[in-house]
Amino acid sequence: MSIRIRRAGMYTTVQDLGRYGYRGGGVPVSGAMDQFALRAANVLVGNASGAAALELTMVGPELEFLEAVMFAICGAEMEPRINGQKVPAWRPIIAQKGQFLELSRALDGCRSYIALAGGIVIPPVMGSKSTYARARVGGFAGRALRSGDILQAGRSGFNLDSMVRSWSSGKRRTKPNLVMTDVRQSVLTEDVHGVQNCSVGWAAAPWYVSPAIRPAYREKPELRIIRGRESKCFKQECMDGFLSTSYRVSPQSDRMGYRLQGEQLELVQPLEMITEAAAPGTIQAPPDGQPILLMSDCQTTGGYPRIAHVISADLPLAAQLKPGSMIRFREVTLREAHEQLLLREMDLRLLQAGVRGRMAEL
Amino acid sequence: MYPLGDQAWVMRFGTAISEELYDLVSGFAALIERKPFVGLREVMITYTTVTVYYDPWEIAGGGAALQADGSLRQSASLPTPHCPGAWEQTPTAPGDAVAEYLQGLLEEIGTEQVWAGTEEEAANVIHIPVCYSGEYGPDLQTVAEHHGYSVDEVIELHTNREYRVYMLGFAPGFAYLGGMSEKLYAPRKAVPRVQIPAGSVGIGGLQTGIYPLETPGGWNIIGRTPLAMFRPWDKQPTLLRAGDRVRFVAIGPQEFVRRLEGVMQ
Repeated sequence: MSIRIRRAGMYTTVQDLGRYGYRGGGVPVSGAMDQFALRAANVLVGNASGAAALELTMVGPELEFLEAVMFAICGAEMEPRINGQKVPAWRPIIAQKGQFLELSRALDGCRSYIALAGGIVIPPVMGSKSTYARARVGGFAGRALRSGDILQAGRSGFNLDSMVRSWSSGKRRTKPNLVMTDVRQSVLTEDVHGVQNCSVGWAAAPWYVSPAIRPAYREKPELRIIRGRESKCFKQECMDGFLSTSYRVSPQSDRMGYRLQGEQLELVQPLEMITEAAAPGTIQAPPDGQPILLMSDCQTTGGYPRIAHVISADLPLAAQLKPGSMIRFREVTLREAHEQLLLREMDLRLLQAGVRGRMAEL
Repeated sequence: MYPLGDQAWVMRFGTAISEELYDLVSGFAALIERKPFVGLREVMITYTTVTVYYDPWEIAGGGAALQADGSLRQSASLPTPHCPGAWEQTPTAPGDAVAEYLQGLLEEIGTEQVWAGTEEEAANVIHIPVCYSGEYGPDLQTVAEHHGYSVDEVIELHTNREYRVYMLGFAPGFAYLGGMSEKLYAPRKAVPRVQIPAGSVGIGGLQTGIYPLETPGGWNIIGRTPLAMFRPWDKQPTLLRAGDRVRFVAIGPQEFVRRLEGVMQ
């Protein structure tokens, strides 16, 4: 037994990178909305990047540590505190048995992820630990977490006591960053000033994920898109408007998708579409002309015209949107979309190598 | 052929629903599954399309760049920040590589062989027991009255033929069936029901199908099956799969209760 949920937060679920291989059965992929944040958190605690972790939404939970646990928080800023004292995100932290971790309302963004070293021990359903609540599939009993739920972390193989001592000692590394410094700036930033924590028994690593490799999270993000199959079915002035004006995320938004408000999308002539595939990132235009941005729990097929698709590399930006957020779209080519995706993947691999190097030095 | 975002290609074989077109679609999907490529995630079909989902990182050979000891080897096939135009010197970009592969499959295997593949597969007819009476079919009377039939005639028209499963979508385990008699046409309800029990068999316009989960819905409910259409505990998580043939079989309420499976609530 590793953690007990004392307060569940607004909507907290177990997620990994999603359920593949069952779309032909009508089963959505689900998985973390912000895959970068989930993967970074996992990598920071030595997990495979796709291990199961907790996805927090808008208001974070309060957890009790039932044993010493190494964890990391990545994503929106939810002001995490252990026993009242602020703890930093984007780096591994070791808490002691009996301590409480509390997260509040997101100051920016919407979603955050807590990864536990060793992952979360939960039976996979159809090959994944992701929660698809509509069908009560996967995760913790197919539902969001509630007060009283207990989760078990897997074995991590880390010697937590010795790591706490090392991180609390205030020593800073003198060796240069081993990983590809001449190609790219360091993916891990040294925390020169350190975190004052020795007095309360928890410890934070003296390094964290460099902001340079995090997605361009911001208040009014620009989402890059590639054109959808039916983009040419829309009036030219509507396409122009789609690519130049802002849209607002309406309150009718959740893990299935976001209803957007803004420039009307009108077809050149009525279109009777036969159901075809849809995927997270797809932007559909239903008859009322207000676009829908599909997200992780979206249906596998749809009958509305598809005007565009948000590129995978920018889905983490979409994941941080909440009702009232303003967004814009910018068109890129498929090649550029892939280039961004591969660069992002490289960053995560570099991060993993960097973290492993740091852990090995302890 | 068009990209569905940056992790899938869609190949569209036609613009109308027909058994012949569907044979081509399902045949080509089966062909890709017989001849997969590194980085293929899965293949999904609809009435007229085959969607091929892929992993761009795998295709770019990215997996090989991470060494066994965890360190990274600079891979020539990946773009680097200080030469962003690297695609020009490298093997094809992932999207193009997949597209080329799929085009190759199309050309390499003539249409005739794809058709032959489907004929060899045994037709898999699945019998679905349905209780059409009383509380299980609250709209049965409505559908009957719409055409001036008796309830028994409606049941006869629904059960006296085979249906084809064209695809699954909308919800896990929801099968789009083709072949319903036009005589059973019934428009969607003006006011959808808030809760339709899982297993409910409905008619919406010219379509018939089974709700796998309890959801709101606007179809006319004429019966209910005790079988679980979505069964995540099973190795095959959906009772029906694309290409299956289905026949409805009328059963009574007692048999319904006896055969009730772990239906999703």
